[in-house]
Amino acid sequence: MPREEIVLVSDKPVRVHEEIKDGKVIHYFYWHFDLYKPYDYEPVNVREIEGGVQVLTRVHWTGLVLWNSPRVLEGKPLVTFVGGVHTPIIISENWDYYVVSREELDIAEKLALKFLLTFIELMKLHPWPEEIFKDYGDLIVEEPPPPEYEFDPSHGKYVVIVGVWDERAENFVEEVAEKAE
Amino acid sequence: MGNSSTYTSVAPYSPSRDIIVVGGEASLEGLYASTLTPLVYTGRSLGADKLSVEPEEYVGFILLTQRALLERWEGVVSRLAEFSRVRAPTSLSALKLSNYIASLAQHIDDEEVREGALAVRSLLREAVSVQAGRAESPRQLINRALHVSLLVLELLKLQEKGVRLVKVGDLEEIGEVKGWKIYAPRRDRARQRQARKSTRGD
Repeated sequence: MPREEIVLVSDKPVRVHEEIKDGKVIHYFYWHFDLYKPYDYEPVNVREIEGGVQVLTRVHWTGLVLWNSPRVLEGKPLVTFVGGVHTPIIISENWDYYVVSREELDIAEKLALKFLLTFIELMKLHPWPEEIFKDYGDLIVEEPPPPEYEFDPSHGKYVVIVGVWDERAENFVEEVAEKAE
Repeated sequence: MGNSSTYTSVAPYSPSRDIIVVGGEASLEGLYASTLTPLVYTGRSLGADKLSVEPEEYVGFILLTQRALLERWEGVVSRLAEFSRVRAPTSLSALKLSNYIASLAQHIDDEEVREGALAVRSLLREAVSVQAGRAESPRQLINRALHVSLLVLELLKLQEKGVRLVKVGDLEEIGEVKGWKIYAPRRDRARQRQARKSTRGD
């Protein structure tokens, strides 16, 4: 299978690990360090659905982010990464957000969520010229990340929906809730 | 910042200075009534040795700017990193850092970030008083404290740049899916209810 980008990125990581699991392609954008710890793997999964695409990312291990209104260029969503911590931010046509959780968040989860939501608010004000988004095919390695970094949405304790809340968003939350049961 | 002309003893605010010293003639009541609050804090208990002013230079209150607060919190993170990676804290060193965190926390105006700072303090104290048989080892507790302290640091950095932080606690519950509660910013409530109705086909 050819190594192919699933998104376009504003910043290039060190490399991109590709994992294909149950027919789903997940790209892990890897940096040697985030701010304070070594080995930073940021998973991105593009979901093709009726009427478009959604993008699924992770925040702080237990948070899932479903980007439900991604802006698309040449058929691919556009991704930028928050400086330092590399949290993926998908450029969206609509920056509304919803938080869905099954239980009270602990303090670390709450602060990570606060950070993400603050960034989403900032994104509304930031222009994102399409020409800064590039491909990264040369960085893809067909090798999953170490098991402890694998993206398992069933570990999601809360979900952030960015974009419009519609039936597709609700279906995703139902899917996560069922897996968590 | 503040109306210094109202309080003649208040040093003029200068963005280039990281600490604002307020002279002793300003009454506490007066300061609380001013826009300077809630950054008012007595200097002495913060520790004169940790400040860039001599003890005799302040007789009243000390205000930390966002930059000063950020720099001091970076010091807290460094100390926790040392406890995590180099040497475990002694009871005394943990107590000193814990008191320092408590002092700094009073300068954090965002309630949720302050809660994070105080959680760091609790984890640190727990780490040095942990009993055998507990679920988490002292090292795990220190690592958790370090992790939370870094999240606090990132948020303080945003604040220092003038970014207004979202308050997670202000999100409003607007519905439920399979027992999972849905929250949204208060301002979008009407639109979101409409969105939910559309989804359900009401």
